[in-house]
Amino acid sequence: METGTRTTATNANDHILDIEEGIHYLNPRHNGIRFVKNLLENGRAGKDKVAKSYKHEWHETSLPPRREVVTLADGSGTALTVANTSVYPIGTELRIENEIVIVTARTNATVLAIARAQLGTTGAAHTAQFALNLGYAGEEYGTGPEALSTNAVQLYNFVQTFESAVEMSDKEIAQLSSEIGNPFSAQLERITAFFWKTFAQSVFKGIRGSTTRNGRPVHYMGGVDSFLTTNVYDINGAMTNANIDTAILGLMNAGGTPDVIVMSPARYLKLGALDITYMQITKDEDTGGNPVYKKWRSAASENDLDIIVDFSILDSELYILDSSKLALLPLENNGVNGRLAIVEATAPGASGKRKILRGHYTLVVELEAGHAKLIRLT
Amino acid sequence: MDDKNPPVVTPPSSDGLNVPPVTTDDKGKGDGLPVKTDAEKQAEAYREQQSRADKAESQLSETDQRLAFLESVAGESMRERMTSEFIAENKDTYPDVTAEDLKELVSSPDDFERVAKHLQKKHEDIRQSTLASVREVPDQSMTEDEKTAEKAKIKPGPRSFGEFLRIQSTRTRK
Repeated sequence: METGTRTTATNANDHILDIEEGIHYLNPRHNGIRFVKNLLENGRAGKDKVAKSYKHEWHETSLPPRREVVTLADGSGTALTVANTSVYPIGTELRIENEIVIVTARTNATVLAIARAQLGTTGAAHTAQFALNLGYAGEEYGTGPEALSTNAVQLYNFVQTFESAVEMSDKEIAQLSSEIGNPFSAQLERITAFFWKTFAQSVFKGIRGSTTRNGRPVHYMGGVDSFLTTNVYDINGAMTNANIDTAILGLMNAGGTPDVIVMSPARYLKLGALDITYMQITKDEDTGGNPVYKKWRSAASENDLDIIVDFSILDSELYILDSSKLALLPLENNGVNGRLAIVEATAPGASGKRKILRGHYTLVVELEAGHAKLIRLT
Repeated sequence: MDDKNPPVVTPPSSDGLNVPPVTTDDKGKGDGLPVKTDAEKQAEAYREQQSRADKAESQLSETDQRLAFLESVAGESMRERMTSEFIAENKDTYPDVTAEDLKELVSSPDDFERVAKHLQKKHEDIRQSTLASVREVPDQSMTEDEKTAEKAKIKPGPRSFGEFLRIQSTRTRK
């Protein structure tokens, strides 16, 4: 196998058995496999959610904040300073205290031109008040808001070929279908679990890049770390409920719905030591394919966050993620399925024992500002 | 027949006296030709008659055999024709009965219906029995839907992954 210059992920001749779905029947407790399960599910949501080439690209468009703290010195000034004007289409309606203003132009990257005292409201000075985004008031049968493209950026991640060797003959694989408790299934289970554990580490800590080995390209999938830059909170001190709540508020304002909190086992111990007034940890139920995670409830959100504890994460850091905006996509290249499968290895090949577990995946991080990371926690 | 010892014939004596036997050895007699007695003539005639009778009888037997053979051929031909006609007319009623079966088992035209009915029932019995035995053997293959349903039944535990592998590696039936 793998001779010549083949552009497909694999081919029908060496493909033996799909086992990606088997991740739901592993029995991992407190590790990244459970998180990977979620991300694979996101990748399964639609058939179009697949990588079409080893360099998978997508558009990243930041959403406008739901609210932003602004100051207007008086009741008539038409310049409004915001964090990023590109996310405000002309015609956007903002409410600042009891005054409505409407965006008329983007002066520069941080200054909007506004019309004051709209819709019968009165212009007034506002000092460090929330500008609530009320959206765009469209004209009936009008042309709609301007196209928003200035803030869209092109992102990409590489599809990495993840492989792990297996020592099983065709006959042994065939026996899997005839016996429950087959010794080979136990061997395969151990290797598969190890595969996903190392995979989980790439999901968080992988660094995007590529190189060449033996004259062939090798791609490395970037992990969450590679994409998460906006909401990195350098705590440089003890973890507190306030730290976490601040991050959660920031993510929600950016349009995210944080639903997962990821940490190392040591950090988990410290989470348990936080003020229990703000913490609710539910029992972890072992339900096989659909685990009910331990949950943590922030004072800042009515949504419970699933707690994922994994050795992939450093003790000094903690992630707060919107898992609905993360997906692991398999490669569907030239009609070849890149999901995890047992495939033929090189010699001894079809009649021999050696096989390979192989999957081709890439991580997509959508709405980068919808995820946060706390670093230098003590 | 080439007799070396001619038979001794004792002529009948009217007075009952014994006279020297007269042999058929004609040596030393007048013109040298044998002189046949009446008895000899009768015997010869008898033999000839017997021979003709034997010959006629033989010819008759041969004719009988030939006639029997012709009758048999004609009968076979007729049976074949009747069998074919019966099969053609009743192929819906007795779909599994063949002409060969009937030719072997039917001895008179009246037997067609009875034998065909019997054969068809046998076929049905065998078919049902075969189907029953097939049903009893579990089919190892599964459709995709069956696989999904089976996977959904997997209970969490140390064997769940192995059970998944068993289902996944089972041949998929379309």
